[in-house]
Amino acid sequence: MTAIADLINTTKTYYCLDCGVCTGSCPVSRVFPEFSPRQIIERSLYELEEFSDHTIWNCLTCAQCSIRCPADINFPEFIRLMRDEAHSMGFDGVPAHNGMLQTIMSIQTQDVQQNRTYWIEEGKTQETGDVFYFVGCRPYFDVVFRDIDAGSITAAQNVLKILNTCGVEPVVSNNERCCGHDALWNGNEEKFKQLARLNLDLIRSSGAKQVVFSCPEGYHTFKNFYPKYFGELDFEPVHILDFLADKLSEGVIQLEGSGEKVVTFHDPCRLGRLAGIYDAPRKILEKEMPRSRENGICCGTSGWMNCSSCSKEIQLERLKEAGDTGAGTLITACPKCQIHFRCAKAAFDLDIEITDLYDLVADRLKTE
Amino acid sequence: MGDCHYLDGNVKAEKMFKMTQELVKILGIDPVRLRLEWVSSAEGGRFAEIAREFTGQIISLGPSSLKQAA
Repeated sequence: MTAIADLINTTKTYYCLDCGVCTGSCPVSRVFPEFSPRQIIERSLYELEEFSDHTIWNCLTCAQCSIRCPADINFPEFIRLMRDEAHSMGFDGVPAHNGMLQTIMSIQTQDVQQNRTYWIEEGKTQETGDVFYFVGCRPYFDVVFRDIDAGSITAAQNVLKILNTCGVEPVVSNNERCCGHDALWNGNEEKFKQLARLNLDLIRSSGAKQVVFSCPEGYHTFKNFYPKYFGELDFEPVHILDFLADKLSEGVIQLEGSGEKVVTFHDPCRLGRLAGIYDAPRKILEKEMPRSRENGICCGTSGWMNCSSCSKEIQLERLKEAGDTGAGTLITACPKCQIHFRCAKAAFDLDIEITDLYDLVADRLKTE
Repeated sequence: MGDCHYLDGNVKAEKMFKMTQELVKILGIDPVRLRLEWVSSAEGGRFAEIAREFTGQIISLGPSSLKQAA
């Protein structure tokens, strides 16, 4: 049996009805017709697909296809497994930013003493405790994407402020590693496992029972992929939005109204379709875009790979859609969505403001 | 600055260097392992001298903890 036939069996891709809903739904196919999920599956079923097929790296793994698939085929997972095999044969996607971000991830698999908590100014944190705030890659993004004014670290400072306001002083550690999300979706399972092991050891040694995430990728990876590779977790991964929703309903914190500023929300693929969080961010939303919730379009690039004119086209269309709602601000809840949209905003000189959800929440937080 | 055979090449290089310097610090790599020097293509002797001196400095620091990374 060929390796691809194996993949078809593990992901039950043979249930494909050949209906084409996947390609019809795919944001990449719309701007790059050479990429077609349906054709990749068809070619695989007829043993015509090869691991050298460069289009497998164009998939955003945003799950727009799989959520609509009548045969329930997990196409992103099929692509991930294809990439794993392709990578081991020496085929890879085109890394964005000259592979700098992949290098930063690789370095973190090593015995390094990072200084990634440099951003904590007034926030209160602890060395050990019940709650761990997993910051993610924001400290690095803040440096790498300064030229497009990505403001990645402000949201981390604001998450810490929100946690402190709720009476939580979380553990924030210099020894945190990249969660491994990108390594996983770049087809580099070995790198993912190395990073994940270091994170699990760190969290265990902190004594945390809850790990709070403000990055959808980190949350999704910890919740769904860490148990898959390392068994049941001895802590609970919590998304800050669920945490916030609880605190709001308990009355621990209150938010002020928006005043003049009208905002709309972009559902990050990892937060919505992959982690199922749709309602919590909508507590502070004024305008809904036509393509929202399960139908929210991807921000155009994933895993720091294959960024192209197609990505820009997807981003431009999305920003126009946000502007058409009459909102002056697009809110995102993912550091990468924010970077990608701010990049497109700078490239096309657009008027719309792009703000991180946690900056907005911190801004509206009522203080005594 | 700006006096570059590749137009704004040195401006870009300086920007990239400053960014890398910050990243190296966050990653916990000794920042003296990274250096920026301006050498024109007409200054072969100076290039060799700097390369020799920097190599000597790195050797005296010994290997970093990053062996198989990247």
